[in-house]
Amino acid sequence: MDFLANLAMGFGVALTPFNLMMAFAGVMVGMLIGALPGIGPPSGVALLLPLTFGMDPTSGIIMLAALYAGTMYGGTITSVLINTPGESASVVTCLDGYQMALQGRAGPALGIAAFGSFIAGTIGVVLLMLVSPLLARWSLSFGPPETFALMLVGLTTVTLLAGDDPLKGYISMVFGLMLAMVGYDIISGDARFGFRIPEMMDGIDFLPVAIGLFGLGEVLADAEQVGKPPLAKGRYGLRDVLPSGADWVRSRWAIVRGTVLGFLVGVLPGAGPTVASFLSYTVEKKVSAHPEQFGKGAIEGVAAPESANNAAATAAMVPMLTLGIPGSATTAIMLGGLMMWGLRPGPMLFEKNPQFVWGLIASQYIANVMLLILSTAFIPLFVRALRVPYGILMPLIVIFCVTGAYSLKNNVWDVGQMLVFGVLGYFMKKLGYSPAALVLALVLGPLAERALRQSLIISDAGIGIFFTRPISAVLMALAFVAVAAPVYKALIAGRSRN
Amino acid sequence: MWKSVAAAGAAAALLCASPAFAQARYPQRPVEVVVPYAPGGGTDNLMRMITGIIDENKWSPVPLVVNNRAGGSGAVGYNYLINKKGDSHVVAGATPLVVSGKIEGRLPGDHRDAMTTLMIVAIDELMISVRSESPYKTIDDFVNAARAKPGGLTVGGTATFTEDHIFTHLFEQAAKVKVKYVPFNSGGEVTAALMGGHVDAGVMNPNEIIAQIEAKKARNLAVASKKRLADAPDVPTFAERGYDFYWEQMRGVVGPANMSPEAVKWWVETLRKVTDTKKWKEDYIKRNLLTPTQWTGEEANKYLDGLREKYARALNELGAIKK
Repeated sequence: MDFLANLAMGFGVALTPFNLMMAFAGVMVGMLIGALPGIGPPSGVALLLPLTFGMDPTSGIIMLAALYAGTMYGGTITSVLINTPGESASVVTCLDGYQMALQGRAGPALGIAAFGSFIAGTIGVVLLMLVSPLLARWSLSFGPPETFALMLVGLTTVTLLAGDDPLKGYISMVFGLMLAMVGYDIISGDARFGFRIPEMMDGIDFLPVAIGLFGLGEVLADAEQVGKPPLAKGRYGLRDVLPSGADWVRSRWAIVRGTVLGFLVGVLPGAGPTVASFLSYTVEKKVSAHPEQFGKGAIEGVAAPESANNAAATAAMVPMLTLGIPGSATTAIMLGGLMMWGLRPGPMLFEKNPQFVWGLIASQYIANVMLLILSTAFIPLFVRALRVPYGILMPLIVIFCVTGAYSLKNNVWDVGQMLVFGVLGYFMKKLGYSPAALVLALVLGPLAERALRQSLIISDAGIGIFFTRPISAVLMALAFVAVAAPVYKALIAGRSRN
Repeated sequence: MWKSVAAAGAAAALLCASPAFAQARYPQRPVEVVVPYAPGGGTDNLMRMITGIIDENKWSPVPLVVNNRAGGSGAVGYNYLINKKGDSHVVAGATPLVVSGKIEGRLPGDHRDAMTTLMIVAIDELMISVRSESPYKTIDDFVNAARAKPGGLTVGGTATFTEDHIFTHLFEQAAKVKVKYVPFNSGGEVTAALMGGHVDAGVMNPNEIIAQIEAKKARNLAVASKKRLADAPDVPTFAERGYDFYWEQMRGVVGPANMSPEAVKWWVETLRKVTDTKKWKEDYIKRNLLTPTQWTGEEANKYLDGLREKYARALNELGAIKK
C-alpha cells in the first residue's frame, strides 16, 4: 500500500536523532507550559515559533506538534492537583480530577489522563493518516447553522454539569451567557457593555475566569478549615499511583467515546479541544450507569475529557494540513509558521511536501509514546507536591493563579478579573451554583451567538435554515430531546405520584 | 608598555569617534517593540520578521523586545504607545487602526497628532474570491447575478467596520449592487465558509486564498488594486472591469509622538536596510504576496492622510460613527 511506504518514509524522517530530540524537547516544554496556568498552547507555540525559523521546517513542526500534545497533558496536572486549570481544555478535568485528589487518588487520575491521552493521541494520528481528506470535506459542511446547532446541543447539556439543582445550573449558565456578551461584537461592530474601557473590548476572557472560579475559589473555601491536613496520604511508588484494574474497566469506553467525539469536534473549524472536552464530559455523564458519582471523583469524568482534548488537538491538524484552514487558535499560529517556513499549507501540501507531512505524522506517534513515558514517570513526583502542608500550599496556589492570569496577555486587568471571579467562585461554591456551567456558557456562548446571527443574515432572518439542512436538523432534534426529556420524565413522575 | 600604548590608542579612538558617537547615541537602552495584537497574527509576524532580520545582522546594539499587548482589537496596544509620548525607545507595528482608531473614537489620536510614522513597509491587497464550484466565472457574472437578485448574494469577510467590510461597501457602490455581508471572526473562518459553500463569495487577502487557488479549489474574480498583481497576472482589477474603486491594507512601523530626531533617523535607516534584504523580499513580501513599499516621512504621512479620508467617508456611510 502506498501509505505504508509513505509512513515508512515518515518514520525515516522522524527518527533522525535531531528530530527525536525536537520531539522530546517539545513534549517536555509543552508539559511545563500546559501546567503553568495562563500560558496555554497558543501562546506556547507562538513563543517557540521564532526559535524554529532557523531549523528545517520538518524539525520545526515536529517540535511544535509535540509541544501541542504536551500542553494538552500538562494542563491536567494542575487541574487535578490544585483545581487550577493550566489551560482551557483542562477546565472540565477539575470537576472530577480534583475530587479524586481530595480522596487521595490524584495518582490514578493523572495516570488515566496520561493513558487516555496516549490512546486518543495515537488513534487520532491513525485517523489523521487514513481519513484526512474525507474528514476535511465533512468539516467544510459545517457552516454557521450547523455550528449553532452543535453549540446549542452543548448548552443543553448544562444541567449535567450543574450538580443537584438544575435551576441553579441554568442560572449559572445564563450568567455565563451574559458575560459572553461583553466586548466587541464582530457582527454589529459595536462595543457591548464595555464602559469605554479598552480591556473590556475583548470581552471577558474565559481562562482568568476559570482560574479564579476554580483555583482561587477553592483556596478561599479551604481557608475556612483551619489546620486541615495535607491531601496526599500513604505511599507514592509508581505502582501505587497508577490506575487499578477496576479503574481501567470503568474508563475504557469513556476513553473510546472521548477519542471519537474529540476527534470529530476537533476537525471542525472554530470548535477545538476546549469544546471537545466539555462535550465529551457531558456525553459521558449522560451515558453513565452512575451519573450521580460525576463531580464527586468519577474516574470516567477525567478519562473522557482528557482523551477528547488530545484527540481534538490531533484532529485540528486535519483542516490545517489538508485545507490550509486552522481548526483552533493554536493551529492558526502553526499555520503562520508553515508560511514563514515557505510551505503552503493547503490541498497540495500532501503532494508537494510528502516528507514534511509524513514526518509530522510519524513524529506524532513518537511524541505520544514519549508523552506517556514522561508523564507516568513524573506522576509520583507531582503527587508528592500534595504533601506540602496547606498553610504553605495555599499561598503558593494564589501566586500561581496571579502569575497565570498575568502571563495570559501581560496584563494586570486579567489579574483583577481573576480575583473578582475568585471571590465569586467562593460564593458560588457556598451556595451550590455550578462554576462549570458558567464556564461552559462562556466558552460556547460567543460561538453560538456568532453562528446564530451569521445564519440569520444568510437566511434573511428565517429560522428554517436550522431545520432544512440535514446535519443541523439532526443536531437541533438532539438539543430538543435533551431539554424535553427531563421535563417529560418529571411530568410522568408527577402524574404517577398523584 | 604595550598596555599603555593600547590604552592611548583606545583613548584616541574614543576621541575621534565621539562626535559621530554623540550623533548615533540612539538606541541607548533596550527598545520595546509593541505588537497590539495576539501572537501569530499578521502584525506579530511582521514585527518578528523585522526584529529577526535586525538581530541576525546585528544592526542593533541593544535588544529589541517584542511585546504582545493585545486587547480591544488593537486599541490597548496603541493607547499604550500614544501614552509613551516623547519616549524614543518604543515602537509598534502599524495597521490601518492607526488612522481609523481616532475616527471611530477608539484612539485619542492618529499618525498626525499622536504618533510618529517611521515607515510603511508593505501593502496587502484585497480581492473577491469564489470556490471553483461557483457558477460565477468572472466578476461580471457575479455583478450581474447580484443585480438580478438585490441583497441575495452573500459575501463573507472578517468582522464589521473593518477593511473587509469597507471593501464590500465600496464594491457595492462602484458596481451599483447590493449584497449581504456576513461577518466572521477570522480570515480562516471566512475561507472555511467559502470553501464549504456557505457564502457565495469571500473577501480575501492574497495569502489567505493562494493555497486554494493552486489546488484549483477557488477562483479570484477581481482585485481592488491599481494594477494587476505580479504574482497573479490573470486576475483583473475592479477598475479595469469598470467598477472603479481601490482599497488595500497597509503595514508599517510607528512610534509615539515627539520621538527624538536621532531615533527617527535610526529607525528609518534600519528599516530601509531591513526591507532591502533578500530575506525580507523572499520570506516576507513574496510569501505573503504583498506589494513592497518604503514610504517614510511626509510621503508616508500623506498616504495615511488619504487613507484617513477614505476611512472617514466609508465609516460614516456605514454608520460606524456615532454622533
